Amino acid sequence: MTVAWSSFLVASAGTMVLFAFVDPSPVAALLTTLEVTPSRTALYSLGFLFLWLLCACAAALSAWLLSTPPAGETR
Amino acid sequence: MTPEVPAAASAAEESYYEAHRKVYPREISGRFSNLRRLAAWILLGVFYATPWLRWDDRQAILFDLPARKFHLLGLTLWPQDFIYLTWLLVIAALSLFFFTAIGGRLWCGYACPQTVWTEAFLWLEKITEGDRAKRMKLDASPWSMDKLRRKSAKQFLWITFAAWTGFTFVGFFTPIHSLAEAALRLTLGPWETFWVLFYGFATYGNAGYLREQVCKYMCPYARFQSAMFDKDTLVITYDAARGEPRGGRQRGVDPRSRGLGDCTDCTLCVQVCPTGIDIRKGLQHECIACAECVDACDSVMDRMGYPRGLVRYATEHSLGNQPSKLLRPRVLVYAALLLLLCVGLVVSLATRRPVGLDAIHDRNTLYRSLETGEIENVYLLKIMNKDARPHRFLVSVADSTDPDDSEHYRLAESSRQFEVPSGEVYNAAVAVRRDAWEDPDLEDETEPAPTAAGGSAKIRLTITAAEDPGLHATAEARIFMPAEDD
Repeated sequence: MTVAWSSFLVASAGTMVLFAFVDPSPVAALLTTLEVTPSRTALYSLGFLFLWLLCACAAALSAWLLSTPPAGETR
Repeated sequence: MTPEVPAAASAAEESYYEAHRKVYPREISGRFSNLRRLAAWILLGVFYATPWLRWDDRQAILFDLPARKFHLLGLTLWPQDFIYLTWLLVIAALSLFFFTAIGGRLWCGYACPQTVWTEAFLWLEKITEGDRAKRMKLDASPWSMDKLRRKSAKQFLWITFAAWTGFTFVGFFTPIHSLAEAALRLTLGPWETFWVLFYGFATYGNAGYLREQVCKYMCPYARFQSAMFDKDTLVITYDAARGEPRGGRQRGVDPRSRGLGDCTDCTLCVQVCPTGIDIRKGLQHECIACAECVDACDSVMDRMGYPRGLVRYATEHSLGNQPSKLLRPRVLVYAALLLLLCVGLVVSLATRRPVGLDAIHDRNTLYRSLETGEIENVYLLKIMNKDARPHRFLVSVADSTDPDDSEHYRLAESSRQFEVPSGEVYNAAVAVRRDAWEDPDLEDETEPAPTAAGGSAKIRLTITAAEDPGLHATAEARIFMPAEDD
């Protein structure tokens, strides 16, 4: 829960900053081999979900490291 | 649970977490709850009505993400204006600090979306399931037709309201009229559908079930708001000196004759609390300063014939019978910064240049030698007309180090003027020509001497509105040319 929530917050802010500076449309047109370039809404959404996943990985790793103290130490 | 874990250890681990008790806030009316209800109505009204407002021929407030532009009434902001959004967020954060320093958690109690939507969901719960006592009884009772009926009615209202909220939210980002049409025809795009459901579900979960837990466990502001507090900040307090020792008594009995304080221990302040705390235990981090307990206590004080304010807004200083100061260095600093930023924003928005220009050199060809002996470079000009009117822009080109000297550079016939509609980015291909380097006239010029690999110079492209010379923008670019003996 904490992981999902904190990464959601950071990913929201990150998405805003990222797409304020980068227009994903031409980038996607270059990268994809699809017939139709996905709409900006789709690209923004995927970008956000990707960032969320990425942030969630970092948060989950931090949470896990914090919950398992190094050997020899007790919490 | 695995059998290897000793029972005592697992019990100790589990005890870190308190089992969640559902809070059934009792409804109360009074000065502050009326104020809160008014704030909730206004804020919800603004949220649900705003996307439907029109300005000229478009939505008045539209953060048009697909088109990468924000419409705010008469103003259109582009990605290049992102600074304003950041600026606005900084102002919002500072305002939060400012009001927190003065009035404590005013935001939490009156304006936070979590509070406002929880209030709305509680109201829907009340009209389907009844008041606090009825709700508690209903939840404790076994399933019956009546319970099923009431619970489904509540769910129906909640889900409808949440879906409408999600729809409205998406309507801030995509034109709501076409969104409504698509929704009615069931032709909503996959991502629009996803976001409507996502936001709707978030509303349903947060306002229907998580409620005070969002404030207690999830909200970052709740964690750091106490940093803005000092002894002159308004907080909701129980006047223990006046209230204790608490105890029941008949109306009309002088509490002092029984050795009692003014608190009748009616627990109404606890029953109305949306976060389920007892304000009489002192200031607690769960308190969102909604002042429901103030209203509850005042109503009891009125009935008992005691003066109001046993639970009230007070500062730490005023409780200790010391004078409270409104203007402290902290407040003054916040106010000064806030004022500075607000004035800056207004000035900068008012003097914002409504024309923008970007010049990008053609990616495919560096230069082209013409039969006339000239060298031609092609640029993609992105002309942004942020003005509310269409404009015809005249293009001019000059040396970047010597803007008055426009002799050496010429524009192709088709590159001299462009019509740009209002609020659009127009892509114009512009061909700039100049004489080749061997031109003897240019030998002694200040431009960089061409190397064997060819040379380049900086030029400045300018666009000027034909009917309004004050409206102009410039962009710099590099012009490339072949080596002398090419």
